[in-house]
Amino acid sequence: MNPLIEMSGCSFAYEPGKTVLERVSARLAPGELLGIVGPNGCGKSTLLRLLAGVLRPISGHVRIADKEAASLSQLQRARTVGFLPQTVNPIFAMRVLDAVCLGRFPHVGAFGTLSPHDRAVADRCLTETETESLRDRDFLSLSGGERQRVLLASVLAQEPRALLLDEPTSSLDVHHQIEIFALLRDLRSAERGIAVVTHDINLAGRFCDRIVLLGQSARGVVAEGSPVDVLTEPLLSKAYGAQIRVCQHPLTGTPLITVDAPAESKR
Amino acid sequence: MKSRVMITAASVVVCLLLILASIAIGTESIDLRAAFDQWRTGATKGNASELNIIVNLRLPRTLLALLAGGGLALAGCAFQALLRNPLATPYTLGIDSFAALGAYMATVFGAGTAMNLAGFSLVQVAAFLFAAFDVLIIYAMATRARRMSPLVLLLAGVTLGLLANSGILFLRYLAKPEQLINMDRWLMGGVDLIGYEPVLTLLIGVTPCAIILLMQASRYDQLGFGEELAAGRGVDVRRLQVTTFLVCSIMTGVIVSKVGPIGFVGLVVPHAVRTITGSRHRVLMPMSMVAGGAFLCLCDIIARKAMTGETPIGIITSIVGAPFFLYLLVRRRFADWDNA
Ligand SMILES: Nc1ncnc2c1ncn2[C@@H]1O[C@H](COP(=O)(O)OP(=O)(O)O)[C@@H](O)[C@H]1O
Ligand SMILES: [Mg+2]
Repeated sequence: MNPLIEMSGCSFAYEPGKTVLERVSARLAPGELLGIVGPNGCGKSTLLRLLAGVLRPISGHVRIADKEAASLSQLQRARTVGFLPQTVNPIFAMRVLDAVCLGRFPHVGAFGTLSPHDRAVADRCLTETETESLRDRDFLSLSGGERQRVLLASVLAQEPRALLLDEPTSSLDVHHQIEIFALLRDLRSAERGIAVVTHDINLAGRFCDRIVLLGQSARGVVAEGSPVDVLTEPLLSKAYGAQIRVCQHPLTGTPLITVDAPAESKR
Repeated sequence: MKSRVMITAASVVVCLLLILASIAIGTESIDLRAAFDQWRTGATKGNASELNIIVNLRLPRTLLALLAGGGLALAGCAFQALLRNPLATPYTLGIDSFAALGAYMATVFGAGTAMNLAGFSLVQVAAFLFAAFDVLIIYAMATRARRMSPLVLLLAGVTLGLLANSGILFLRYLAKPEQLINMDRWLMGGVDLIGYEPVLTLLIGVTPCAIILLMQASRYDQLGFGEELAAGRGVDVRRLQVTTFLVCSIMTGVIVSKVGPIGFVGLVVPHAVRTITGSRHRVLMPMSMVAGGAFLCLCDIIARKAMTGETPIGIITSIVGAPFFLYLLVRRRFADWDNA
């Protein structure tokens, strides 16, 4: 199966001379849940923005559904790729259903007139994310977990084949984090691939089909492959620059990661 | 949802009534029916005094208020959405102050120059150019900086406005007493211009700008959830910024150069309308235009009726607008803008 997004040899810098990613290659295939992990500030969000096509690489190529990303219009791109950034802060009060309908933007004309089909899609996305009961609530009155689900529904309403999510669980408690990941696993399908940035390696190891591990000093990918192959002590220690231990999750058997505390300082 | 449609419809009716009233009410109140009869029977100039007043004095004035108020309110809507800030308006971005500075400069240094550029006097041309200059500085800051937050741009606008106000004080210090009177009159704004020429100028200046801005409505909706999400959905954020700054500065520049700096319309009207229509710009923006026009008509009625003689309209918009805005602040608290 051809990948939905294929990135080859991409470099990127926000400021000249300060390269964040150097000759990085990555891909997202249909049907997979891809986890992008790595230490803070290593360029996970940057990688996701490049995959989403909202940032253009300085060198290298990004292909979206077998077309050069630079050759697509922004709307064409948005019909294939859905992107949920790390921070979303709404300023207007808005009904949940209307917020989800905003996701139809790349499909509707300049005047944003919604057809019955658009409304049906929005309804289906509410169902898929189990947020039908929130339909008429004000988005701003929702809890963190409810907001994430509704935002997910609004990005799903774009009907993207590639879904890119930046730390969708970072502000949630453990229980809601697992719920979101379980939902993402259900949402991937034969046509739809999902990439999710997370700093929670344990969750990524438990739910993702494939992992891309970025490193602090590597300016790019340290390792890439199945969770058990990537989440190993030497690779993680290299990526994080700290002594990391991996054992087995007692219940799921997936990799479980802990970090040795720094040696106690002598005061 | 039903009730929202009803309230919206009712507000439109109220606005239309206000516009009618501004035709009927003035230093002399006019019997609209008499005027209508005169028009229908085709009465001759001599015995059609009501009709004459309406066609030659009231109608152009009402149209001017509609165009100016509608344009300023629309620009307020666009800036608030683009900069994601409830305080973003042409006025707070310093456009009006710079226009005033330009007008003062022209009055002090260009005294006696009888210039006329496509219906614009020297004062009006200077006001327009200075308004454009203000927006240019803010926009240059927005594009130069690696990542300039909307709040910083707004603060830049406020600072430029304060700078222009100091410049105005300095010019007042230099000006001759008789120039001061003209200057002050301009500073207070007014739609008491005679004839259809200013109406035509505004119509040509405002209409295309308004159409372009209205066409961005669904993009402003997307910005409500943040620039990055909007970009992910296919909004060309940079192009939207350029379009908004350019179009709003031309539109406000034309308006302010003709009717003077009129504050509060761009601030109060969009917020008031938002409480009625919600924040979908497809409804909010055209409704703000109607309400902005009606608001300025209302202020103009008060200006004509409040005292013997006429009160400058800029004073009235503030006196009416400020308490109303405070009321909105207390009642709604703008909790929804906290994330901006
Ligand atoms: N918009 C931006 N402008 C300038 N530098 C940025 C921007 N976003 C991120 N960076 C820098 O790029 C590097 C990688 O950031 P990011 O991709 O956000 O990392 P992560 O998501 O892994 O925490 C960091 O050093 C960060 O400071
Ligand atoms: Mg990040």
